[in-house]
Amino acid sequence: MKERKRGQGMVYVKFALIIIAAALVGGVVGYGAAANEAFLPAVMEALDRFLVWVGPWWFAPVYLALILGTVFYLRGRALLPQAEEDDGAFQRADRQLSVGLVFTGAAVPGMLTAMGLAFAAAGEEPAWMLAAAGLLVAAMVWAVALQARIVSATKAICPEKRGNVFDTRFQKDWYNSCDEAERQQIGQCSYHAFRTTANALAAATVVLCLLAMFGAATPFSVLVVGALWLVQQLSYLLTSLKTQTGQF
Amino acid sequence: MPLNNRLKELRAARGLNQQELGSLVGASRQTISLIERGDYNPSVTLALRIAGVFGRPVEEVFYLTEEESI
Repeated sequence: MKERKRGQGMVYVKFALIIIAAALVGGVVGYGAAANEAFLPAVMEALDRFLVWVGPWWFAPVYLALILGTVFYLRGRALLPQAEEDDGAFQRADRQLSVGLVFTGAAVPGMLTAMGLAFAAAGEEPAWMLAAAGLLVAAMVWAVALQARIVSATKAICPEKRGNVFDTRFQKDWYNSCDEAERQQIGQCSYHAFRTTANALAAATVVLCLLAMFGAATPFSVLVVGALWLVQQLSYLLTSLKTQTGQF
Repeated sequence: MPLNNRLKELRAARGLNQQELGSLVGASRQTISLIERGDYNPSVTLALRIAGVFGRPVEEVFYLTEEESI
């Protein structure tokens, strides 16, 4: 009992130390930024120039992800004939297809970010604008087709799975066809994703607030990140309230 | 106390693969695999269904083992 109380006491000490450390870091960063007032905007300007300079090449990692996704899909598909009878082959096929889905899933937000950056780089040049749009359409078609093939291959080894990737109800149908263990896994993944994005959004908001103090971040970017954080927190908390009480 | 099971052994004795056992108890093939590896503890309902397939009491299929103290 005493041990437990001491452990709980340490939690408050640790919390106080984190607050002090954060205040010190914030103070040092703030002082450093104030002492070099022109430095931060100059850094941000250089960063912007770099982002624009890369231009349509931002699509390169997207296409690399799609190539890797295709390789894993083909490896998984090659195992399908054995997977029906052989439990070991099933495990390997399932893993290859799941890794393929990771790359495809990463490609989608990647391609939209690349499009934004490529459009910013294109400026007033219609040729560059068209090139960026063409790269986006090709990547989008590739990603959707690959996702459809991976889902179809997964259905071949897990016939109980339901859902069509071209249907807006896909995620709901897929979830409904999952059993208790798979739903628990989805819950664990969602919890991990919630924690990771909450930390990332909190860090991004703090950095943007610091940058905004020195005119190195636009009010719109602060608003966007803050709004995303708010949406994330409220969607979690309101869903939690609804599941506990049955109403908002 | 970790939950162990004799699922793999009983399934092999009945000549069932994971897919077939999954279909009989209303679970996916992945779930049967997770249970066999000890990575997932089934609900009471699923444990009873699995034991029912083998015609055995649930405690003959699933059992608790003492954790080794360090």
